Amino acid sequence: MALDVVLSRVNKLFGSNHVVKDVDLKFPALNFVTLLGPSGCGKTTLLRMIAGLETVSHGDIYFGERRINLVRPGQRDVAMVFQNYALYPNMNVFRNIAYSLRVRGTPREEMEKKVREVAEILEISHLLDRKPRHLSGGQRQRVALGRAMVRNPAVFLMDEPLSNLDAKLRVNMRSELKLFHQRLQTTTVYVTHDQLEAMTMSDLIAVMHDGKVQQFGTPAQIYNEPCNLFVAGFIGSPPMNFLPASLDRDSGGRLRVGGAMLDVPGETFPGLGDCPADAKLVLGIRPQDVELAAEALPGSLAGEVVLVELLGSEKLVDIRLDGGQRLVVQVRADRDIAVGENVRAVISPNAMQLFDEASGESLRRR
Amino acid sequence: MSIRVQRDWGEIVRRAVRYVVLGAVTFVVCFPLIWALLTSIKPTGEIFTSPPTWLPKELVVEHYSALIHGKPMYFESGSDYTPDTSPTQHFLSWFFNSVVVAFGAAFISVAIATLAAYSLTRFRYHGRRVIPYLSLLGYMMPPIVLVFPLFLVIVDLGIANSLWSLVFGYVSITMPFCTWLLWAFFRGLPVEIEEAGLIDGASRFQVFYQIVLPSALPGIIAAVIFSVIVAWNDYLFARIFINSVQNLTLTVGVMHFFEGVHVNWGLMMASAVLMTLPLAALFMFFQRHLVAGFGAGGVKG
Ligand SMILES: Nc1ncnc2c1ncn2[C@@H]1O[C@H](COP(=O)(O)OP(=O)(O)OP(=O)(O)O)[C@@H](O)[C@H]1O
Ligand SMILES: [Mg+2]
Repeated sequence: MALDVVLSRVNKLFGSNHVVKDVDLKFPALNFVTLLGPSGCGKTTLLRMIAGLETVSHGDIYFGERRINLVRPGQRDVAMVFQNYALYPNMNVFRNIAYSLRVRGTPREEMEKKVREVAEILEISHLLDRKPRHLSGGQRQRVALGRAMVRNPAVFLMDEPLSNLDAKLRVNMRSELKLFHQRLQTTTVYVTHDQLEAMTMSDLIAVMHDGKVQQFGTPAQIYNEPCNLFVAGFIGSPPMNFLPASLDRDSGGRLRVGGAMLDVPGETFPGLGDCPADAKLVLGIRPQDVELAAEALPGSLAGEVVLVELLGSEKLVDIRLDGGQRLVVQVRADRDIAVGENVRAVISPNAMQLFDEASGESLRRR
Repeated sequence: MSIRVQRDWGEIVRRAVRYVVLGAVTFVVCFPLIWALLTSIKPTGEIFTSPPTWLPKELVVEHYSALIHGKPMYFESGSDYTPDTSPTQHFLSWFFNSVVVAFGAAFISVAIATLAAYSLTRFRYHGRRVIPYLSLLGYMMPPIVLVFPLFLVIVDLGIANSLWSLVFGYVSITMPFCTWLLWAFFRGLPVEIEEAGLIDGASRFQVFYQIVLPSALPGIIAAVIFSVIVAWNDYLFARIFINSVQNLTLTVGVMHFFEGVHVNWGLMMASAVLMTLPLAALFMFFQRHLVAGFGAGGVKG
């Protein structure tokens, strides 16, 4: 039976090192939730607390109604795929998958049947007699999944299970894991520092930084409405452009960016009116949301092309604006553009983000 | 279409040289063993013929049967003194003593070392970093320095002249090294496999003996082999701790085949062969395990 996982003001300290800070999250049952963040932000630590492998310093963790802070890992009904898979080196694939059933005293026949079923699904039936050291990375990963799958756990935890696979296998496994989640009908908590994995697989993403949850929402919310500068810069590839901006009261609340004046959709940024006149702001815009124009349209930013990178179907154009700031623009690959060319960048007002420079918070309505 | 394989004469010569050199080294290393084996199956009269015969002209098992059946020695030294028992009559008990002492010491030593090493790698307490190095240091202490203090302890314990004294003596010299060896081994065993076991619902104890111990088996076997060899080949401790002839181990016991100026080389060599066999068999049996087991593969990369 799948359960909600609720983290209530969860903290973790290693000595005086505060690694997880006041994490408040609710993972609804059956959802695929991703903890996303840069290396060292405390994702693994949080996951290990949910698994029961680390104690909780302050706060509570609930599975459904049950507080599980003091419940031993074996009693929590969780399954976990470790970053290094952690297969039992002395056991063959069959016994690896069967181990959890064996310690529960499952009858031989039932065990046999379940393991074969799982092996069938994961297409590792022909490997059942092999020892882990004779398997490839992708095969080991399937065994690790099989070990979790045979349990039919209430909560399924995965710590960067794809990080050691090659790029192609990683893409395949992404969709397989998603299918796997649908088949398993379990609340899944997935840890990764790869935003693409998070975006493609998750129902909900918790972006973490420095032990704190920065934003918790659907992939679309996180991408389109990042709540602060960190999330905006971390999500999206190529990363979002940030330009210093300020409010120009004289022109009726338009935005001054470099030498240009931009219109701001007031209904998207209702907080803008309350800003002090001298507030320092940051304009965020994704490279995909900037157009290059030949002539000087009003509200366009002038600059010179300094670098062009071909990505295949797109080109990244690196522009030095007249004010000296850099702006990266993504255009179609067939667009002719040369280094040294003078261009005008037009920012799509609906795609722009505005942040308060001091606090880093978004001014967008929520 | 067939592919003509070109002969690379340089490679053939290099290979031939390699075989000759390796063969020569192997022969030099094995010569004492081969010579002991050949001598042990020659009749006593043939052992000292000059020039020496390579292969025995006549093949006999008299030395072996003397050792095994404990026949009185057929050589008379010519002195007035004739002992009422002859050394050959004790050969089997020496052999038995050696086996008991070597395997008993190895078992105790490795059992303690395994638990110690596991605790050193998995639990946090003061000194867990220095203990492995100190125990390695302890092993470097020459046994001759330890033997007399140990003897005094053994006398105090009231176990002098018993096999226990040897077991304790050997444990005290092999256990530190075994601890260090297994410590290095456990350190390479990822803690995640134990955590995976805990999440799978096993108790700590189950995790230890169903996952950790089998994964560490190659290291444990290496430690056992090391301890058995040290105990089996020891002369010093057995010479000093044991008085009565029936409690001796092989190494000291066979010295009784020296009688004054006369040495019964046939018995000596037969004993040497019989002493080597158990260890050689042990090695051959476990070598496969040792090689196959290293580099535990539960983890990618
Ligand atoms: N057992 C521990 N003792 C002390 N500090 C620890 C321990 N485990 C983790 N830390 C610290 O906690 C912080 C967060 O570690 P954690 O492993 O949770 O990061 P992460 O987000 O999983 O990073 P990565 O993406 O690199 O795996 C790190 O600064 C790490 O040094
Ligand atoms: Mg991690």
